[in-house]
Amino acid sequence: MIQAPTKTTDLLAVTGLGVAYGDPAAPVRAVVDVDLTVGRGESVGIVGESGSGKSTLLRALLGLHGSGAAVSGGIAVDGVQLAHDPAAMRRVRGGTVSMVFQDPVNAFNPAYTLGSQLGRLVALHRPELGREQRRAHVAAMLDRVGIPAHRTRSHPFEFSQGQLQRCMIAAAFLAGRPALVLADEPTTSLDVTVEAQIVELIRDLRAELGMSMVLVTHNLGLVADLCDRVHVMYAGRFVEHTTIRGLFDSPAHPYTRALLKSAPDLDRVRESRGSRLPTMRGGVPDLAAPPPGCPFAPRCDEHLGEVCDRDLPELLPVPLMPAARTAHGTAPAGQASDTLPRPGDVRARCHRHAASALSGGTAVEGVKA
Amino acid sequence: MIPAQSSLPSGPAAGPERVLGRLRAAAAPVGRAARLMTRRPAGICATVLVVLLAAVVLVGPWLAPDPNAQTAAPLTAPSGDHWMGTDNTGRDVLARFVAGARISLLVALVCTAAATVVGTLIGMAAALRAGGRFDILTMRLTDVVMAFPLLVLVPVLSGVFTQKGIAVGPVELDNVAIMAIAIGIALTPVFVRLARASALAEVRKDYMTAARCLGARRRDLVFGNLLPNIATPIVVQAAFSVAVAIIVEASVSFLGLGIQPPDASWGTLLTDARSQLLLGAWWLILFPTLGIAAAVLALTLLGDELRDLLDPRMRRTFHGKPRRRAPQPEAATEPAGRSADGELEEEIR
Amino acid sequence: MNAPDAAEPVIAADNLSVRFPVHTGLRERLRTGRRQLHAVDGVSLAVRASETVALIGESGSGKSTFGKALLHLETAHAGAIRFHGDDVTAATGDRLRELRRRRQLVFQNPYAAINRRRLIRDVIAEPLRYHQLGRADDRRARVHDLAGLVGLSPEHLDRYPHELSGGQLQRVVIARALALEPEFLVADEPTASLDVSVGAQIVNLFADMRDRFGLALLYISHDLPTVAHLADRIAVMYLGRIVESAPAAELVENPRHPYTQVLLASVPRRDPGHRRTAPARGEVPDAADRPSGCHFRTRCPLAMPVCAEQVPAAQVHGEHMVACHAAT
Repeated sequence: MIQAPTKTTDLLAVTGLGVAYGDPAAPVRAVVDVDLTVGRGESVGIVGESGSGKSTLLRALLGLHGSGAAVSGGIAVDGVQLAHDPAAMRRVRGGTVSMVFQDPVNAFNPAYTLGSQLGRLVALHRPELGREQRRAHVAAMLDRVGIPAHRTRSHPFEFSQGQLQRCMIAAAFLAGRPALVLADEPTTSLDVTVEAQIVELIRDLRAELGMSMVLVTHNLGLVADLCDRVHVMYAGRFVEHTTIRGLFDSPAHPYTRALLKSAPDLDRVRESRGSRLPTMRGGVPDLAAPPPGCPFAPRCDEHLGEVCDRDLPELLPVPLMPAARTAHGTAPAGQASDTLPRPGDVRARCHRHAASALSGGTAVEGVKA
Repeated sequence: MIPAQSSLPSGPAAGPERVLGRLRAAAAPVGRAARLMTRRPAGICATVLVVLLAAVVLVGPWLAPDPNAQTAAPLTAPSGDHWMGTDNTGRDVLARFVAGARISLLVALVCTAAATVVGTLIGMAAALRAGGRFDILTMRLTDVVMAFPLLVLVPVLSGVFTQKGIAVGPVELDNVAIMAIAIGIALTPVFVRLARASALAEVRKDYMTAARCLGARRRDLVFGNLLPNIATPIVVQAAFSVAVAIIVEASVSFLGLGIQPPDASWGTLLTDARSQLLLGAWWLILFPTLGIAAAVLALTLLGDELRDLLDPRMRRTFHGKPRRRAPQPEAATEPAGRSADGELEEEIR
Repeated sequence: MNAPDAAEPVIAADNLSVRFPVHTGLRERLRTGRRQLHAVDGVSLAVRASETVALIGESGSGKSTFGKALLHLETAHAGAIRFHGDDVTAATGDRLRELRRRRQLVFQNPYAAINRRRLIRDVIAEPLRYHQLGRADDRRARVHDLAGLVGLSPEHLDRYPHELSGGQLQRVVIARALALEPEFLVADEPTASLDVSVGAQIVNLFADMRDRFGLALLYISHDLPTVAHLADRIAVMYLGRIVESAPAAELVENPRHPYTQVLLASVPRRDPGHRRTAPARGEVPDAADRPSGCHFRTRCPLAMPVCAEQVPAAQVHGEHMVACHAAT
């Protein structure tokens, strides 16, 4: 179904993207200097907490950032530059690039039946289909995501949240022929058993159709389920880039480590009971007046002193710890071995790594203690 | 188990201090809104007009001559002696305008105030018993009253009784009082509806549950928690209702059913002007019309401004000018609801 | 009151039921009569001092309604609530106010649980005012103490709610609940609206307060890992009934009810080798239209004919209770 890739360029190439709101004299910089590439068939996660700018970033990719925001930098899809070209952006939106939102209930117009809303989408992206073919296509779409075809005549309020999320996934994955799907917290509003169903559905659809995905979430487990590699975002910047295996086995940035530790792990309940959860002190910095140095410095337990408060660290490659490759032994069946981190795969924005990279030492070891 | 209530000596706090504190707390948002209002153009307009009208009502009668004294030749055009000219019996129009303003505005204010208080209390009571007999009865009654246009209801109510006048115990009700009551009755349903709808939305919110759980008595619930949170739309509606009341009073008096000559109101001034208009006495109709327009404009502006300024998001404890809400890119474009992300970003801004 | 016994529950629900009328059209009402939604259906649960009992379940399980019913914020339709052994189900007036003082609630969404027109200082002092405890300066000192207790700094006290972050507001709500020195606290999804790192701080705060004041804590949540970390016992609720309850570690390691197993299998894991598959089909049915017999049978991988006919009885093995026909 997907057109064969004719170019060798990345499907999505974002360079130096920035999004700022409000007063130009003292802007709130929600996204700062973000570089992101997504290859064909690849799934990339962006993980962060409230206010990290992850949703703003995702919306800016489709030009949905609203008139109050100033966007800088480049966004190229299939080698075509879209950042300052609203017309090109509109052509891509919903066509080559489609989107799944967090709240399925508000994503549909309550006044129309589901069938007519999906039909309109199909008409937009597959103009070659006639009326009957279109109807058949909508029925097939719904059937694929597990909604009985006769429900095309129902209105959104007649569906449960999980069913509506299935419909939105149908709209995003199947209405047109997207090469890239952007998903913004697609399971956050759902119950956990339904979340597991949606995860399975998305994974199957991607395996079948081969499109790329960018998934924005605060849920580390969801990233583990659906992504190949992941960016960790803090205060508008990417602070770490790593593979899924690297994220759990050898997180490189102190923020990532603190984030992982602050949620209890169901597999280690007996050990953790009776103790307190490790927490980060304080809260996220004010994006209108960020600290001059590393944005995480005020909360960091591995603070190096003056340099962290003064200089913003670069996003630099992290030398790998041998343990990173062996913690879980060999890769389990059904998982590509390239999810294991290779040298250069892991990058972190932290002075610890910068210092050790210069001296040639093993960085991760020092901070693991 | 913990020892029950050991750390706090129990006992009521000093009475007057508490009452004063409550009053101050209740008045604070209005005071703050008033201060903020003087910094916005529409607010300045509204403030100036309201102050002017208040001056006319409060000080006017002492400066202007007797409105019923025939002090000059009839139908003289505005001049240095008579700024608004004289009418067909030689009475000074300015004096009658000022006296009329007093009656028109007082009637409007008193009616609206009464309608606001009564309507809000009934509305809140209905909301607290939503679905009950009192609620249903109240709603049907407001339906009945609201089914009549104001301009039919008030003349009918006041017209019926104007002829004979009525006495309630020792109090003899005159025309003005009867019309005021009629206007008040006609205005009340709006407030009942508004208070009920706002209260219904608030009653279900967690902070009301929290107050119940924390041991709030009924009066704490209603006057301490519910009322402050539904006050904004009601205050705004009150400002608009005063404007409506002015128009209704003028219209009814113009029809000859409300305030009766020789008493002056803006409505009766217009009645007098009607017969003289053909004689070219434009000043008779111009000034009362201007008065009505200015009052209505002032109150409408006031209502609009209050709606903005009573929004608690306009409040900041740190000083300086209030920050208006920054444009919200998320809300504008995102079909999905507020994401966890958007929430904090809004906070940061 | 009798001498306090360590083993005696602070609060206990005995076969508690809460029902809501369902608003339906006239035609349906004539045909089938007035329908009722059984939000809570015969739930028994006890919480002791210094103990944390967690109630987990998906939306529509009735867990929040049960928590509110224990606090007299919903009306119990049947069954009894016992506070220190006394039946308080029908308490009203001053007796109820006295009981309210000793049982408090922390809400899911701190933004909604605070009257947004009050200063933080007044929010925390609210219960002291309602119960007329202390004079103005006593209250002032008490509010400062409470703020310190939950980790707020004094300058937060003179701000408005919208100037604080979600985590800080949740601390305010907790301080307000603790102002009356309650013996029993219901926490209704207190971290659901917060970030992971902030949620962890709040979970720790609950554990600290429980240990410090000997609180009996009912922690309502859908977050199994957190609950397994914090609670002594976990009760799993599905469509108004408790289907399984056990000590926390036991429940996680040895779940016996198929629904509990499904919940555990649905939780995302940290292991990149672990790929989640959907363990249960469909979604939670409408609470106004529950399946007969065992409510879970429509989604259960182990469903048998008997499940549609009989409500499974509770089987008790030591501290482990399970209500399932398939469990042995």
